[in-house]
Amino acid sequence: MAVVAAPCSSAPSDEVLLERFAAGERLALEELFGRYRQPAYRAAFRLLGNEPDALDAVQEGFIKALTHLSGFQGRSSFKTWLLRVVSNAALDLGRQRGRRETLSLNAPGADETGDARLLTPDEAASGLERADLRILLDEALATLSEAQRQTFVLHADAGLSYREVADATGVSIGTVMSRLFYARQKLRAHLSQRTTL
Amino acid sequence: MNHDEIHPDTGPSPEQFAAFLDGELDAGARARVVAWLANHPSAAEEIEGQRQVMRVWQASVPAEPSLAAWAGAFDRINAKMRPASSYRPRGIRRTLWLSAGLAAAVLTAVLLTRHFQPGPAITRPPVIASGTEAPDQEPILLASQDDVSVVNLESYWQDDGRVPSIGEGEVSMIVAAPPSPDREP
Repeated sequence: MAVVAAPCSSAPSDEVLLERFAAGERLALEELFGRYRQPAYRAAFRLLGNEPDALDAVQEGFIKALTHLSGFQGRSSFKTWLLRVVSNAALDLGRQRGRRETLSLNAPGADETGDARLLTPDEAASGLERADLRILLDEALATLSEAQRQTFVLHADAGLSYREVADATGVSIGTVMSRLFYARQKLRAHLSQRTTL
Repeated sequence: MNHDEIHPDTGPSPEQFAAFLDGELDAGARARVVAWLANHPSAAEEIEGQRQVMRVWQASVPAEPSLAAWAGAFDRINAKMRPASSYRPRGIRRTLWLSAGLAAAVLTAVLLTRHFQPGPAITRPPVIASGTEAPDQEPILLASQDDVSVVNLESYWQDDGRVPSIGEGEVSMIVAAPPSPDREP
């Protein structure tokens, strides 16, 4: 018999946890961290390309989000506020640490003679070429504007809806949708030079 | 024009294509996009390419950090937040600052009052001589220290028009009390 984990209806809301956190309850901070560390990390990792930097961005984002709650003030969900701050921290960190320069030194799919080879989608999607694929995707992501990059990772990696991305980035839902379209178009154009996409 | 309708000349908008790929269109709008793509192979190829990009993207989700890495990250966050464990929403913070200021003011007032109160520690012979006497004259005793009380530094007793003083160079404390009727100065 399949066992389906039912969502725990007694789990405290983010608002309750934030109140407990404000009262100095360490467990509330732990619960908030556990709740959102994964989407925050995924977005930060995509924007920075490596684990240590991504963890730094997550840490900085949590600290900033929690110490500047007055900027949040319930206009959006805490999740949206947090992911906005984390993605901004990641973009700032990427600018400081010169992510693009690092990536350009590690162009994927090129052999020792410098000739590029094509990865098929299946090959790319398999774990066998995961490291090369990630670098390839990082390169493609770096071709987007900052606004497109942030919009794309908040939607594709952090799992935010159109509405939530719009709240997080301060633009309309229509702008979010068109940014997503053009981001995918650019990613495809870049990847199609290296794969059979 | 309805947002779900497809422009007859330009085809679906970027927003419509995005919603199509994300499965956000209702059945009718989706069918219209599919029908339009069937007649526009190059656009269909582009959209299929974008779908593959999304598939590859989802297949390359970064691995989670180890539990130790997560624990380290949390500890660093917690350590940064600890100094601000007195963190409160803005309104509460303001109240705390006001309370602290008020407490400091009350404490200062209490200390000042105690400093100027005559008490057992004051052993010099009390009080008090006319302010017009020559400096080398002995002060004339008006009352014992138990019979006087502090008024304040500016509020001199001037019952008979004289200003009582402690003596030359000792005007650190002005005390005053009406002379007892049965006691001569």
